[in-house]
This record gives sequence, C-alpha cells and structure tokens, in this order.
Amino acid sequence: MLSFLPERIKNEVDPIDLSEVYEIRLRKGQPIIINHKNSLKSVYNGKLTDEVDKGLIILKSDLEELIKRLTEFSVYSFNEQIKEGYLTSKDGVRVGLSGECVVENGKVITISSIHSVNIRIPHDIFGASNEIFKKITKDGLKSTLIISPPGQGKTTILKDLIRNLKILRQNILVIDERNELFSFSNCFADYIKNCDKLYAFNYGLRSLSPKIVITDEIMKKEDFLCVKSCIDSGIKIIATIHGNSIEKVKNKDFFIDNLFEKYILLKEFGRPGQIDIII
Amino acid sequence: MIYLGFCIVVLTTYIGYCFSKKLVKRKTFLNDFYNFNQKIKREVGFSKKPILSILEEENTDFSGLLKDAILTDKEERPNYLIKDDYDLFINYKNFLGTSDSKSQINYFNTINESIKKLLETAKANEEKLKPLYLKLGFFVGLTILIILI
Repeated sequence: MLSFLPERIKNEVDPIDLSEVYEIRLRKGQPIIINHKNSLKSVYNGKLTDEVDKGLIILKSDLEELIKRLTEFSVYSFNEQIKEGYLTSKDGVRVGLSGECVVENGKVITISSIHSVNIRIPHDIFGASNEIFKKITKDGLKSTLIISPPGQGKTTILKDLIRNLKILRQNILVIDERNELFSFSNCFADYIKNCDKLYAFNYGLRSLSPKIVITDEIMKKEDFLCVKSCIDSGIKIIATIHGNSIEKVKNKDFFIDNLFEKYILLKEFGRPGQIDIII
Repeated sequence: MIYLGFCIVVLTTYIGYCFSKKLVKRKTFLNDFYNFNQKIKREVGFSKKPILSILEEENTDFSGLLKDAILTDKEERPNYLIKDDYDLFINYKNFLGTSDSKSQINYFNTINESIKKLLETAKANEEKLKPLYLKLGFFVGLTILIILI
C-alpha cells in the first residue's frame, strides 16, 4: 500500500502492522511520527517507540523522492491536487502536503518546497457502516449527512456504505474528489474521480442519471448548493462533513436547513461507524 | 587459402558493418527522441497523462533508456550516442515532469530544435559514413588477402 515511500523509510515502516496506524507524518529534519490508535509515536528499527527523538530523521531528499513517486514523476499531472494541498497514491492513500504556496494573480498556482506530509492510512473495514446503513434505509433510503472531526473514519464508512448500498439495486454516483472512495464491490456504482465537486455534480447528474449520490467532505457554500439541487431533483445523497456537533454544523453560514433527512454524529475515538447522535 | 581469405574479407566487412550500425542506431534513437517529444507535448497539453504511462505505450531504445534513467537515476551513455546527444537526453530527463504543463510544453518546444539539429547531423552522418565503413571494411579485408597471397 505504501509503495511510494522512499526505500529507507519503507524499511522502517514495513514491519509495523498498519491495521492500527491512522497516520504517518514525515517532517523535514524531524523523526517519523506515527499515529497509532490515536497515540503519537515514532519508529526505531522497525518498532514503534514512545521515545520520539529516537526515530528515523526525515531528510529533504526523502520528501523529494516521495513527491516524485506520488506524482509518478509527473508534477503536471497532479498539480490540481497539489494546489488543493494533497496527493492521492494509485492505491487510494491520501497524502496531505504542507509547503510554500506559490501565488499568482491572487490565486495559488502550486505548493512548492514541501516540508512535511501527512500520510493517511485508509482502512477497509467490512461492516463499518452496518449500523448506519440500517438506520438510514429504514422506511426507504434517507439523504444523510455524516458528521465527525477529521480522522474518525468517515471515508472508511462511506467506502463500506457503497458496498452495503448494492442491496438497493439503484444506480449510485460516487463523487470522489480525492480518489479515496473506490470500491470494487458495487456493480451499480459509477465514479467521478479527481475533479471539483461542482463540475462532478453538474456533469454526473446530467450524464449518469443516478438515484443515489455519495460524496465525501462537503465544506463550501457551492457544495451545499449542489447537494440542494440534487435533493430537489429527487436524488438521495449521502455526504460527510467535518464537525464535532450537529448544532455547530447547522450553524455554519453556508448551511441550508432541512436539506438532509438524517444527521449522524460519529462517536469520537469510538470504533469506526459507531453512532453518537442521530437526528 | 581461399577460404581463409574469404573469412578475412567477411570479418573486416562485418567490422565495417558494426561501425555503420552504430550510426543507424544513433539516428533511430534521435528520431524516436524527436517523435516522443512531439507525442508528450500533445499528451501533457491534453490528457495530462503521467510520463510513466506514456512510456508504457512505447517500445523503443529511447523509451527504455528514458524509463531506466527516471526510475533509477542511472546515467550511462550507450556507445552509439555522442556526448552532445546524451547531454541533451539527460537535460530532458531532468526537466521532464518537474513542473506544470505550461512550462513543460514551453520546454518541449524549445528543445525540439536541438533534437532536430542532432537528428539532421545523425542522418547526414549515416548517409555519408555508412557506405564508407562497409566499403572500408571490405577493402581492408581485400588488402590483407592480397598481401597474404
């Protein structure tokens, strides 16, 4: 899964069981930091350690190599992602980037001099969405907004939901802006990947006639307007958003009332898919 | 003696042929370089396919050398290329994929002329020197044979 890692980092990380690792942080001149079950550790001789200073120090050349491999030696192919501050590997591993924004005419045209990356380890957890699936399909599928802070498994749940939704035998459109939601297990699903939500909604709705739309991380006014036009057309939508309370999400400036039929807040630090509050 | 003489002529002609083959390989390499540059210009501008995917579709000495150089950072000049050819190739490899599509296309346009110049020289050399090497090989063999007889 982490084939894009430079060799010396790969050798350190390979012996670790990734099933309990949420993130790997690589910062220039600093030791590797690993989020292992929400506890920050480092890695020394292939083993997790609490003594973070002992960990392998990341070099500038490691980050350069990593970016080269992630972009398949073709920055021009991935510049749209880089501008948005991330890169997604071939295997669907999302890597957040931090560096210097290059601005031209008031617009960020790229991020250069990358000095740290956050590798988010995706987990395919079979059944992670079972509880949510039951709740949202009782008396017919409901348009649903799944809420949780970052890193609490929203993407994992959506991937499993795509699998579960196969039972409904409806055409599903997955708007996968960051190329993270791909799942082989639903023959009724179409994917639009690596493109802006506004564009994907417009073109997907017109050309693919879905009955259900699934999308990750709606966060802008335009995203909500797209969702609204979808729901107004009779399409059911399942989306996720960052937040730690339903009320706070509803109080956002761009929030549109009565759009979703169900709101689900995931339990923080609970098992993936564990519901805290459902309205 | 006749057989020995025949073998010497064949051998020296073959050596001449080997020298001329280098010229053909150089011309083919530069021709593939030129064509690849045209192709990648289109691909980067339109489909924005990554370099390695574009190289997957190619099966030439040039594409093999470029792929190796990208993946392994290996810099080893093949014996049929002259220093200028290889310097241009390394420059190309070092710039390839390192910037946005606009800068890449500008670079492809700029380097196009340099590749073309080298290609024309290689073609001229091939036309001029290929028959010369073959003839030279043959006549050297023949001279040896005459001396022996």
